[in-house]
Amino acid sequence: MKSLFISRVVIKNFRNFKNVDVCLGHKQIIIGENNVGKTNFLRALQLVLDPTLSDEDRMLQEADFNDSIKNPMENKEEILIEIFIDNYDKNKTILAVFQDATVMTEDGKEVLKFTYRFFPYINEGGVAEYQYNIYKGNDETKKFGSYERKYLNIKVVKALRDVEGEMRNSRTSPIQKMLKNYAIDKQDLEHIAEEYRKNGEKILNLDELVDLTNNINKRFGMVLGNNDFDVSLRAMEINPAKVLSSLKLLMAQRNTTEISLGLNNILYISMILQLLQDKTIPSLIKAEKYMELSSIKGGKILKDTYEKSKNGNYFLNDDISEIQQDKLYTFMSENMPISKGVTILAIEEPEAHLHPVNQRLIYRDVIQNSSNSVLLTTHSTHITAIAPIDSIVHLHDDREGGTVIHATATMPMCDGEFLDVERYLDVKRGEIYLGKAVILVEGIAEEYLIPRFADLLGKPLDEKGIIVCNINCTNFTPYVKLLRSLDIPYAVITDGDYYYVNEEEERVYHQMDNDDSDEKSGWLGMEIIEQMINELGLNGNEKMPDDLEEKEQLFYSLGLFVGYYTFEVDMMECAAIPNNNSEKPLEVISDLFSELTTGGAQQKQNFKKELKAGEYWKCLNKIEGNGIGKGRFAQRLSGVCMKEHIPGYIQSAIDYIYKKVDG
Amino acid sequence: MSYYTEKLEQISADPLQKAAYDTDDSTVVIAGPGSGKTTILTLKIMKLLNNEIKEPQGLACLTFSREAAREFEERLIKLGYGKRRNVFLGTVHSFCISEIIANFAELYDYGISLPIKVLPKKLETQIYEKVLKDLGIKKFSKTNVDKERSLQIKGMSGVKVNSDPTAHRIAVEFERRVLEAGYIDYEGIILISTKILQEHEYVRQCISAKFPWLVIDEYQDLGKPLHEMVMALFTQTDIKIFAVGDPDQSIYGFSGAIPDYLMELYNRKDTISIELQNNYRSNQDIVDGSEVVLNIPRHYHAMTREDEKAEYRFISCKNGLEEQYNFFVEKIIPACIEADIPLEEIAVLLSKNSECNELGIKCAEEDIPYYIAKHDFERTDFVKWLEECSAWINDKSTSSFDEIFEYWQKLVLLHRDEKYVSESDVLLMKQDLLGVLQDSMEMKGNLKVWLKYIFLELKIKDLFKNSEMLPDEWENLQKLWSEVSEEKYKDYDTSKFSKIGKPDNQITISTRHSSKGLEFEVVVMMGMEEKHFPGWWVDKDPKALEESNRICFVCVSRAKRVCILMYSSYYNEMDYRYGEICCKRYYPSRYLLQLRKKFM
Repeated sequence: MKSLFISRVVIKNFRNFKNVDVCLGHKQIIIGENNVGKTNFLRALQLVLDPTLSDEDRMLQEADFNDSIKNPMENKEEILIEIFIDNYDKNKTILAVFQDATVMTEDGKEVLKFTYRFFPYINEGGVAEYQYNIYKGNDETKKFGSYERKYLNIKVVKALRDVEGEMRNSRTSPIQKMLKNYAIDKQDLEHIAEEYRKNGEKILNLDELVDLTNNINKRFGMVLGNNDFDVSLRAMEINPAKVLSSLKLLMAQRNTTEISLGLNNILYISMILQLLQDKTIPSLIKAEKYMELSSIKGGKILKDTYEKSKNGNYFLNDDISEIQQDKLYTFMSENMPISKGVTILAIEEPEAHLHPVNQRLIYRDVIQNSSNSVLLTTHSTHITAIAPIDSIVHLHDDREGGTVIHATATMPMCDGEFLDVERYLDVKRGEIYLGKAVILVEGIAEEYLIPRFADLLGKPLDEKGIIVCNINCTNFTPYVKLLRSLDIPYAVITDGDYYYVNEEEERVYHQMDNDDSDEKSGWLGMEIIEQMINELGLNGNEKMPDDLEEKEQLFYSLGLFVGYYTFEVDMMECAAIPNNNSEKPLEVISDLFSELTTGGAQQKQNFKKELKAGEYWKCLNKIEGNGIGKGRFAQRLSGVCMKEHIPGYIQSAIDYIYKKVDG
Repeated sequence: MSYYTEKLEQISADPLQKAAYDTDDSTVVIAGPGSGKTTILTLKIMKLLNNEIKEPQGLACLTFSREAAREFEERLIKLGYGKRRNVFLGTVHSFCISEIIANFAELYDYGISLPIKVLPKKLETQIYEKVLKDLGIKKFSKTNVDKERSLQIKGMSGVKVNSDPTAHRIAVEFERRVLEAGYIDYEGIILISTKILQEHEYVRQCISAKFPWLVIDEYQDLGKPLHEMVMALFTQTDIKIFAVGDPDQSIYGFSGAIPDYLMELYNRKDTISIELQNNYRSNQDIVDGSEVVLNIPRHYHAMTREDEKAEYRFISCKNGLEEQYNFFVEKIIPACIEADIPLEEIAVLLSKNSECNELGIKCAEEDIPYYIAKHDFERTDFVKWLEECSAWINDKSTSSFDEIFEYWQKLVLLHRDEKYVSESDVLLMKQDLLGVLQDSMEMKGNLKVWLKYIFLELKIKDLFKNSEMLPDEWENLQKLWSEVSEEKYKDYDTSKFSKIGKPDNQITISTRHSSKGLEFEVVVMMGMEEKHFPGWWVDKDPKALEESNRICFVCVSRAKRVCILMYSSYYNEMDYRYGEICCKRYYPSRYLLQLRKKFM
């Protein structure tokens, strides 16, 4: 059962956020560059929900206003944070405590709303002073305070966390908190403590210790001049109350302080999640309680789901069916209700100190499967690559000093529409979310060459955080949809795939355009892009122009760049355009072919000839067919390519995306 | 032994009371007169809060009157109840305002303007009269219209009700105009709350989560809207009900309350039904007598006053109530004093308020201290708060200043546009109130002077004069003021504030209807003539006769030992046919005859 979650956040004038309004889901990955406001986003939630914040922490300062606001306090500006909660209607504790926080969404659904407001307040003396108020629903008199935070709160696991320290400290250690959740019998503890003491005393009977004690006493007595004070040894101080806190966590028989930071991190996060888990179905029932529950109507279920332990208590079986689980949940919530609150967990950079495999592990197995709502901030492409598309919250600079937030949680999605994208996002492509802008390309050759072209044009992509994302197909639509919903600037580069229609009314591809104006011809690439424009309504209500040039103009303005033939052919054609060092660009290509091909001298000769004659399709065939392949060729070409190789549409795309990032 | 264990032992001795206390599922208890229902209710609440319901969940206890809610609270505190969140104790009306309207009205559109503005009584009369005029209806009782409105509520109950087309027409038009004027009236609050609850699953879930148990007192008096609310919650959520009532004491038919709703709940297969059998108030003769006039055998047992005989007396007078009054002051009172019966153990039950006032005048002439239950001012929350303040200045241990302030702060905020007050300003407010109350201690020797000071210093008039939430409070306070200004209170100090309007070595004069819940050693029933009681109209209306029987049942069962019934053979009455006063013959009431037959 999924717990409640924060379904919407509105922030006004707080730190990075001038005015954001974002919808969220149950599990959220918050991504964005450093300093863009990920921590401040969590801070906004903490101002309302975190019980560990003091009143002083909640009282903001002038510096907490968004930078774009001049003299905020003089101008009586306000900071506003609104948090909406959804999916709580099965939780009786939450309903009981927070029903007076209910508001209606625009589409007629009940949700809970909590507001933090920092505002100038005219006091009884007529003086304006800044105050904050946290309240439920729309009524400023319904305070949201420490009582409320007992039942709904957030726990933030900081990026710079001292996991070792926290686990060692018995006050903060999750293991101690978990122990406290059990009501362990005091007598048992006393008994154990007594046993400890008895066994410990055996050590004192060792002759070596007897000797030691004697010697100390002798020396002490001599110095003191008498034997009035008897010095003795005690083995262990055992206080029943401290028996539990003396427990140490071992991993593979080693103390956790000796375990790698990475593993400790996983252990720590696992324990926090376990601590916060819904415990309506207890994993252990004491004998007495078990008897009591079994005798209640419907208590038979216990027999099938619990097993007696050696000590006579009962453990929950691991392999209970979902039906049993549901039944058990209903039974327990009726007969042994726990009125615990709900904690939303926020983890900053769970990937810290983790091997990529473990990064994926902690996300997939630990976080994704938790019934609690989890928010996490990350820079890890290992995590973004496997996160469901609809769980992304993307923060980026609005180029005016503020930060904007977009989330995919409410992006309209057809079933399976993003399956392709999800399946396709691997570690490399996980970067798609992390870039300031993205160039979508259809193949590996573009992936290799475009960054190099950008360098040659004096517009290095890395410097601006522009990412080239190769989607290995021409189905750009879902990617464009995704990027648009996150408001990440993008450019699409795709082949034109020129064709003409022969007498049999069939399309013939991979031919050079012979400028025969009688022939019916077209560009598959243009058609695909046009279809996407229509599907996503990129052109608004405007009609698609019929004129080819106008059409291309429109595509460019939308960041969609279509070639003529195919990337390599366009490149060769471009290289053939006469210019200053006229032969060089073509030579580079033919030299590279000669170097890479497994073919003989004749073939190398033929390639050169065909290249000169403009028979680029034949050239490309040879590249693909002689143990080279487009990828390898492009990879090598990227080392030697020149400005002259850059086809016009690619240069336009680079110019376009650069302008987008620079604003 | 603590009060709690003492009470627990007490009910443990009665198997039926114990059974009602022990149930852990929904239960309906029929509790006849003197059956100890308050004890069971309050103990049940304690049990639920201590053992069954975990925080933050609580429970709601609904009562018919503010007085009853207050009595419950005092009793609960005596049993060891400490203030706890999400425990509601009050009338159905205040439940609707604070738990339904306040939290949910904003979410759904019912055409009411928010925050709600309560229809002031004066405006209500204006609108109502205008409606009658515009509909061309000369005279029509507002009570009947309100009854019609409450019966219009649709729902799950299978109890058939009749509609009055004229009342219906007026009701529709009246409601429309009240809404149009931007107000909501008393009945409207309950009706809209019922609708909100019936129509929204979410609201039901919220209410049942906050209040997993609903404890209801005097179920037979609460009418159709409450019954439909209970049905909606009971059948569609896992809320549990503990309802207590007595069909035989259902005497508010004029408001739409009939015993059938209680019985519908009682007869459900999914509720545990318990009928208490024992009476701890009266002797067996009184118990038997009450069943005679009720005309339904209940076989209740008198548990106290064993072997005691009741004293039934039947007094016949010649002409009019006047003679009955005279007989009462001249004969009965001296006899009671002779028999050492304290005045507060004597009650006179009459049919109308006007008769109560007549008898009051008579008593005043004869220097007999009396108390008329029907009061001019209402014990509203604010009056209750004033009492709390007066208690605090007299003895700081009895009430808490924090609670006194909490109410004050809420009240002030309710009447302000800017709802946020900074902590330091709250502190200032608190200091101000503390200052006023402390300074007022100088005046504590005189209630009237003290009240005047409080009203003035706290600017009470400004607060209430244009109040939209409490439009009738200022008028009510003026009534309180004129009451306090009366001669008999001139020596009252503030410690006696809570005794204003309560019997204090006085006989009680009450209408039959208002006598519910009271008990006296001696009950005097006047005007016991056929056609007067039961009224002439019951001949054609068997339901009305049944209700009349129940009223008489209630009256007789108020008595612990002595029951005196008086009638006159003649009444001078206006004869509308001739337009003159005629002397008319009357005969003893059937109730009187039934009792006389049994006990003489």
